[in-house]
Amino acid sequence: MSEEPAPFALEAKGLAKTFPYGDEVLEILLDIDLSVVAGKSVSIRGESGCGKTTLLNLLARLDTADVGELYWNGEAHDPKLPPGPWDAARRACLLGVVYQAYYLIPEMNVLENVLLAARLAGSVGKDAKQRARELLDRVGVSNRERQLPQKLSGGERQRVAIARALLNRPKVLLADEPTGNLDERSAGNVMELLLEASREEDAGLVLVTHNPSFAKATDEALHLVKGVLGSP
Amino acid sequence: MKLPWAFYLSWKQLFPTGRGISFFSVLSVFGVALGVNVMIVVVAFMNGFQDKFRTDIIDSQGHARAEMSYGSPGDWKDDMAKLESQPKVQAVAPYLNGHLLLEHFGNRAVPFAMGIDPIRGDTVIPISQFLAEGSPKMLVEEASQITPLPVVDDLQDDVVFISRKAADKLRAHPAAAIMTTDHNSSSNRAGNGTIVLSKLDPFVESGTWKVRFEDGASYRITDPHDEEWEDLFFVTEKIENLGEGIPVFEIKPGSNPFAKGDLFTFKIFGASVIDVYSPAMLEKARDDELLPPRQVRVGGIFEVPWQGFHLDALFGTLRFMQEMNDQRGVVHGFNLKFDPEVASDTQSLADACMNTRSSLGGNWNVVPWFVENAWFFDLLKFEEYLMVLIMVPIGLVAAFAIAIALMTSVLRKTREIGLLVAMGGSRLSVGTVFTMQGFVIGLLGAILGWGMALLFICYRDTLMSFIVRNIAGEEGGVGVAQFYDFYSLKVPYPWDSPDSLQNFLIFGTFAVAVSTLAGFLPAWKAARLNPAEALRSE
Repeated sequence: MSEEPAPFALEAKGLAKTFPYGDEVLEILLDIDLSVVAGKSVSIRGESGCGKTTLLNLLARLDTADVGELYWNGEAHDPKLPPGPWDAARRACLLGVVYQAYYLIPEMNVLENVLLAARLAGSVGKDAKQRARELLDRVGVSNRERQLPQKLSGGERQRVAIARALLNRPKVLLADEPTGNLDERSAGNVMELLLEASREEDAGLVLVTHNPSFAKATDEALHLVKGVLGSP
Repeated sequence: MKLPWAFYLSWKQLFPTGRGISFFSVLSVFGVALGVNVMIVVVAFMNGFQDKFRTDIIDSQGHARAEMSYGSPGDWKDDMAKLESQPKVQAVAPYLNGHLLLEHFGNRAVPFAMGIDPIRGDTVIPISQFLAEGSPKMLVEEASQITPLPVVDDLQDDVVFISRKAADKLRAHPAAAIMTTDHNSSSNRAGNGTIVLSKLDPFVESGTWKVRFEDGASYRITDPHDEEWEDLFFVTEKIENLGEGIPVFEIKPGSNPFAKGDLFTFKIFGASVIDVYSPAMLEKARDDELLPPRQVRVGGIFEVPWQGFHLDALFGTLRFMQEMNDQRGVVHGFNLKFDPEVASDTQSLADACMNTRSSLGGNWNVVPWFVENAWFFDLLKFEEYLMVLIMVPIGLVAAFAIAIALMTSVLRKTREIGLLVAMGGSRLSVGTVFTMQGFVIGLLGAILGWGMALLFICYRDTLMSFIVRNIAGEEGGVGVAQFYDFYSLKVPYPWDSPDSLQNFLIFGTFAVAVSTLAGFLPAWKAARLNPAEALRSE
């Protein structure tokens, strides 16, 4: 009888990823086990090129793993297969993503950018609009909702990106160096916001960062070294 | 309405918030619109030309021609009765054609001569519509040209109508008149109305004719020889005919009635008398029978709008042609006019011609107008197809431009595409974003193109005048206008003609299809992007 998956917001078991490099095979990730409880945060640190972003891509199923198991809020997803439309739809509902470069759509204003997450999940409506406004208020850019992203500062853009990631009440937030493009003060504010949002929204947070103090602020700090994830 | 996110995003990329419409959208939509406009206008104008030529050809030769393959009908009146009894045949006009040599004061012309029954002929070929102003240009001070247009009734056995070109060659003209001012009488004229010439037949004598009023309603006419006011006619009421060679006047009363003694003077130039020789005369000459040329008067000058019609031409009566060709009681065939319902469709007309041929039997042929002029319409069709062949690549160029712009957009938005997948967008939806952009551009371009085509059709005269004037110059423009007569060109709107509607729909659909296809390649590329790599791209 198979064991029931743990009630984690996110759980990965034995994930591994290799890349062919000429005649050789580069082992990027080796037997990664990771579990994140709802409302808790996990940080992953490591040297540049060690595979942190690759790990996040595997967790979001933006890339395929060689082996392993993956669960989103208890739902089993095969990380070895390219995701189909159903996987994409589940990703829209269960995952929120925040990237270093914000990736706001320049043709849409702040509110429209946040609402795009609801559109992708097929749940845009009055409720979504109200929540988007609440989130913009919470991240401190409610007075800029009609502005185009180009008019915002880096910190403001990242706050909008966080609001967008939170809109569908995701179970997991994946943040890939969200403060990488920000000055120290803005970075601190954004980090605080992410951790607070994770707790308040009861979403598990996986944070990839280079910053040791930000890593320390999370509930669990992990280190990725030579493809192996572990405590520092 | 909840728009699928791919549709929403494609719309936003074409019409960004705060900017209304992107530069790329403006250029693309306008490019497609121009292509649609040009294709519709070219085909609409070509159809307009075809309609015009069709009308001109039918006017100049009827719907069909019934002719014997060899020989001539034995008793043509029997055959004509058979033709007239056909249910679909509306009018029948016998004809006898040939060539004649005309001479007028040493000037010669050899026109194609058509002998027709003036009354019957006019029901099939509207000769009266072709009769034109034929009076010679006269520069006479204090005189006004008042020559009335000739009428078909003027065509008699000793009167012919000649084409403008033949008239120019012969330097011949029909009867003409000017009204001259008589200072002595005008100073005393009580009435302030005028008098016009309503009929001037080919037999009128040259000279000065006068009209003198007896009271407001009656007047006397004197001819050129009546120097002692031995009045030729005393007219007391409106009259349409005073006999051969006598002009008919019509009073146009003014606020003050004419009074006794009011006088009008007219200079009348009689119709040219031309000598006519026929090939039959040569036959007679071989038998040592020398015949003098036949003298006929020029009753009118005609201009046939169909340029394929003989430029050097003559209309005479059937009997005149029979006599000139020494073929009394003979006709060559019949011009036919069918019911409009039959004539409006080429297949119906072809069927009707076949049925008519069967009823006549023997070696009769009944040839519809479009078969007789197939060469010309084939040429027009070829030109139309050639134009479309040239225009379609222009439309494709617009499509390539759209494809390139969208492909550039895909490259520029690679990381956004990665994000969309990361946020839960499927590859199909990502592809749809770009396909939809091509579709929307095509749709808006088609609608704008339709609007432009409607404007072009509405203001075609102004636009064509401008274009012709600026390309061909003033003189060249006159030549173009004479040949193509674009001012009278009928270019129907789509709500007036199913053919026009079809053109609008075909070219609009073509634009939408090509633009959508242009979006497929960028869409395919976007859908195939690996999201992980897309998010890493610089």
